[in-house]
Amino acid sequence: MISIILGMALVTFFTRALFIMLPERHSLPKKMIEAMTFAPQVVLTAIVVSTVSDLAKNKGSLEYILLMFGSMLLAMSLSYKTKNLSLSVIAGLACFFGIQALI
Amino acid sequence: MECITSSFSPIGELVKGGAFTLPLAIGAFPFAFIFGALALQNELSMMATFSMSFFVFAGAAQFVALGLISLGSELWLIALTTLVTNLRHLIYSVWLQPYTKHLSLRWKSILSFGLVDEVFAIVSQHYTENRNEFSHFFFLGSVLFLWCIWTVSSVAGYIVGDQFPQIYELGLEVAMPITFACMVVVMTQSKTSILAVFVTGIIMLITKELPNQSGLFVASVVGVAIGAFAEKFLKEDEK
Repeated sequence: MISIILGMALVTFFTRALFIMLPERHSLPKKMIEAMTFAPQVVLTAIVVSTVSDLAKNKGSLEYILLMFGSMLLAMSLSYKTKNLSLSVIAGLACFFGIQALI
Repeated sequence: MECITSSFSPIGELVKGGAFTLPLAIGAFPFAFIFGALALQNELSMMATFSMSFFVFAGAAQFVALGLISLGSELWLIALTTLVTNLRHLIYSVWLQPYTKHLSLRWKSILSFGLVDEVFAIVSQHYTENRNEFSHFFFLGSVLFLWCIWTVSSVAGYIVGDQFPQIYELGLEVAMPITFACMVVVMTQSKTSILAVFVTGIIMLITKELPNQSGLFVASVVGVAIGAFAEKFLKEDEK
């Protein structure tokens, strides 16, 4: 078990550290950095789509799926209108857990 | 890239990093708790469960590894599967390199260790909008907070997971997609970024069934490439 955990830890650290650990004098190509401009929103989108599709598949009930999408839509609309992340997330979660508690 | 100097403090940024990670920690808690409960079911010792969360700190890869361990898989297969599951972290590493290149090796090692999805989500937004000379403390605060939550919740799941089956019904797992979706909305402002996000969503749905979550990496790389090409095309068009 020790070797499994050690192996997993090393492989995981490798993927996370590979570019960050580069010495300061070895800058990444400018084109690569420019291409990475969209990386945060693109990766987060992939995670959201993957997680939501898993939840919709595993939880099954229509009420859950509608509630999840409704809360997400509310949070995203608020986020678009106000650009206030905390407010949007709190409103989305309050909507989800509030309605879930009622039904 | 130059730092914007101001009156920020290391402790202040450390605390802020932790505080900003709170909504995502709500989503991470049930996953870690379930991991602990599953580890018990798969006959892992409490020390092994704790060590995996403490030293590996990689949610999805830990779940996949549990399944492989229960099947008696070889070490190389578990390591390879972990590598494929974590490929998206390469993108995080590339993105953060320009912002962290001035730091010492010790700082880079600690921050790299904790570079999970939730931390990248919080930290990438911070570096884009509020970067300052102590941003690495913000990064560290986010890492430490989530690392503690993940490790403690895993052990809690191992100890009491079977006594609280209703925790799976609370729906806490929606906290992460809701928070990430809001972040995407705030970050996505140009036409090219909207295109990149839209294409990523479609590719993710198409590649969803690829093994070990490799669809996440494929969809992200395609999305980044589409965004970069669209940006280049638009610039040439403007000329």
